[in-house]
Amino acid sequence: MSEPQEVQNLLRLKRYEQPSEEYFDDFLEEFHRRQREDLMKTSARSLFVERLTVWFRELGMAKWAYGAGLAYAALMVGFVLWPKGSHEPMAAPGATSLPGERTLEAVDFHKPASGDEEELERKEF
Amino acid sequence: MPADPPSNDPDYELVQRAQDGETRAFDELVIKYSKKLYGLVYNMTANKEDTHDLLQDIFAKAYRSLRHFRGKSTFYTWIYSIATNMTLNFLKKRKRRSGMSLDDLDSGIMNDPLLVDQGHEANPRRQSNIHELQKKLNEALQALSEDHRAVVTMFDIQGLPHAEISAILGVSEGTVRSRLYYAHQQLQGHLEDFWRK
Repeated sequence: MSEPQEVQNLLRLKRYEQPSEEYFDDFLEEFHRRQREDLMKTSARSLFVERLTVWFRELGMAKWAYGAGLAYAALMVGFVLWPKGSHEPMAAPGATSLPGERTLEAVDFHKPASGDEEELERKEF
Repeated sequence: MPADPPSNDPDYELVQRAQDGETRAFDELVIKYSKKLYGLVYNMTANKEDTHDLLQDIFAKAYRSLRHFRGKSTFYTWIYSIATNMTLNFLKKRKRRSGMSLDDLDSGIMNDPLLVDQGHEANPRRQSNIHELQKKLNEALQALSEDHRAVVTMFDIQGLPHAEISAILGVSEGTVRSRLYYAHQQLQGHLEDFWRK
């Protein structure tokens, strides 16, 4: 028998290197156990999102009304809670001016400072 | 979505039932392919613990991906591709992690009933020769690159045809043949000293 053939015959014998039948029975049981563990590991959040998605999908045409309502509500909440810009200076809480102490005057940023006005006029084309 | 109608897939019905959520059908696929895939993974990793864990991961991945299986290949080719890719990735990671010593590898062939002739168990010289041959063969296999070991495992050990290996690995049949030729040369070279004895 030639050497290459001998090598191939030896390799062919390796196909019989198999564990016992019990191993494969246990293997399936372990597969089931791992599947269950994986399922348990699925976070509550992903389950919640999944349920929410399913619920939303099953709503049919009503989901558009719900969706529009939710979007409107979110917009209104944002509008109400959004901090409004104020021209009044904000006093630090609890800060009081002592008698004789100079306080900063409110500055109108829209009004150019004196001198700047003339400069602006000169710069205008 | 279930697989497209099969042309010649013997597992079509089982796959379709498994895709419909019947876990028993997937169990049948596990039972059917665990032995074959064990041979593939074990001969590539040469380590029983690694084989066990990898095989569990392979079936878990197949289970998760089953809904994407469209039946463009047979289920057999599909699951073999998953197993081969996962094993090759694992071997690359293992190589990076630590240079695994050959002592860490099993020499399972020692228990091979066909190689270990019970009638000659009492002959210490013969036993010693067999053990040496087993060791040399395993060393030679592990000395091959992962890609070459994969084709040797599938062709020589598992008896898959060239066309099937080419479909599993996603390479041409010519590449499969040339890898096999090169691998055989390497193995022969490794075992040369042994033949001379």
